[in-house]
Amino acid sequence: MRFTIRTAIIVMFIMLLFSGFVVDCTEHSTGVPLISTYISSLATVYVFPDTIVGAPNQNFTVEIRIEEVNDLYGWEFRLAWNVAVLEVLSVEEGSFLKSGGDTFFTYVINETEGYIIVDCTLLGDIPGVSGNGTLALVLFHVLAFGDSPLDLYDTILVSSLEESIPHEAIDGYYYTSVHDVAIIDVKTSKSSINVTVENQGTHTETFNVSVYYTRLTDPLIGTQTVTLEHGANAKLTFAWSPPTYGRYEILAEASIVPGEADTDDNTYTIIIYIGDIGNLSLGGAGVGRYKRMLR
Amino acid sequence: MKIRKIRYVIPIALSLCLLLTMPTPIISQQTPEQSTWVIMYGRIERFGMDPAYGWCGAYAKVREWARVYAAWFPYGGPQIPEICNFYAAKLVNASIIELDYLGYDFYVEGIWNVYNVTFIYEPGTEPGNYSLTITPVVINGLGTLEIIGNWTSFTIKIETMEEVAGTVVFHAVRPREIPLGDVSGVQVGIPDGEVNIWDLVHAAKAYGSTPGNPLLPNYDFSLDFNFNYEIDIYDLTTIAVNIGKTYETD
Repeated sequence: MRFTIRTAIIVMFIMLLFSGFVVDCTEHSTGVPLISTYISSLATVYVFPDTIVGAPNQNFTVEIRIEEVNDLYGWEFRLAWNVAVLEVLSVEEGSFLKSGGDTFFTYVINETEGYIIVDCTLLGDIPGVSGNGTLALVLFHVLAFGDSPLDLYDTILVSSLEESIPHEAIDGYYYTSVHDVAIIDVKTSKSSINVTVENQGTHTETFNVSVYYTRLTDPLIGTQTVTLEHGANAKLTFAWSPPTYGRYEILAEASIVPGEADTDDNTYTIIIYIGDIGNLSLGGAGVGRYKRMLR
Repeated sequence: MKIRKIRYVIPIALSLCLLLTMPTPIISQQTPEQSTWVIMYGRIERFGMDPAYGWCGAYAKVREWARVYAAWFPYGGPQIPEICNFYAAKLVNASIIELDYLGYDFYVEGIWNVYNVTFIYEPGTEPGNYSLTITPVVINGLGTLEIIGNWTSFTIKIETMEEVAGTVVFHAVRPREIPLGDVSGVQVGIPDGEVNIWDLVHAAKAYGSTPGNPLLPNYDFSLDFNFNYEIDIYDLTTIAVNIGKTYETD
């Protein structure tokens, strides 16, 4: 007998588990909580891709997608972002709802506060659309370094019976990722060359800084390895005495770090003139003619 | 093939549509800070001494402008399925728009037009197969909208016409803008103080419908913001431009 009861409980539990039904207590149009059953899969509205990596002046598009929805007739969502980092360039309707018939699509952009309200509905007394697809596409422009939530909120899904469709909403996230090191200055003194390097990216970088001079050949003055955090710079001193008078091109070069796109500022060149062979000196008034070339 | 026979008074219908899209202005006597916005929906229940069924909507900025529409079916509503006949009244030019005026909760006085409108639907499956007849009943008649009983009942009085009366089903009086377009909410057909997808869907479900259309039966005068007897793109756009706007409801 005990075995029979235990078996019955297990069977009931398994039936419940696989029945595919849950209880929906959403408040329906009558204002009275309505208990009904529906297939257990909950619709999901989400930002795709969920994480976007970009750099200033780039554009990127996110899609607002929906999954496992039944009888979708109209939808609304709000999407908020960090206005210091991003701006919205355009909003377009996705293909999902229009697969069920003619639609009316509209949106409002609040650039000051950084959000959009987007709405779309089918037209006429027709059934809604079921399945998965794209509700809308939002084109962003990256204004500056930083990160931003892509906050999907106040989402409303309405069925063809003008009832709320239960669902969950999942946000996205944007952040800036840039590898960029630069030589920002080269100066000479009597017996050395001072090179100022800067990390202009968003990651800590370790890289080599080499300094050359050019006269007849390109002898290497020296190489140093430097590690800089995001936004930091450092002044490196390379000992060097010119072997004789003449014009010299001093080239400082930072090695390209992995993922670096902006390599134009990885080198920095100045031209100096050593005019007094008996009194070699660099920098200051005694150096003679000095010419500087930026990058 | 869509066959639409507009038998009569096309110029009147066109001018009516144009006029309906514009509120009737009066000279402003208030600063913006003092302005008061009013919106009211009512159910018409009586035409003269006889029962009637219809709808009345008023939208106004007190002492500045007002839009008032009313449509009613005499004798309890249409009796022949293929024929839909009703009266349509519109405030053309308001001269008095006041709250708490002469004992009325809300009072609008001005010039009105009244038409007798008849849709005759052709048998078949094409909802656009109908003829529309618009006959002027009163042109530029002096009339009033009077709301009494702490916003519970209203009366429309237009010269040479019998009184039209009914019950107020929704109203709001606010010091800030009341956006047009709040016609529904989570509870279908009940304004919820915000213009959003509920309103858009409610109007979209009636898209293309006309009064009494047997194939598109969702027509609702409260959704017909330009009062042209069809739920069309103008009505959806009226809602769309106000999406996101809110106001306090009672």
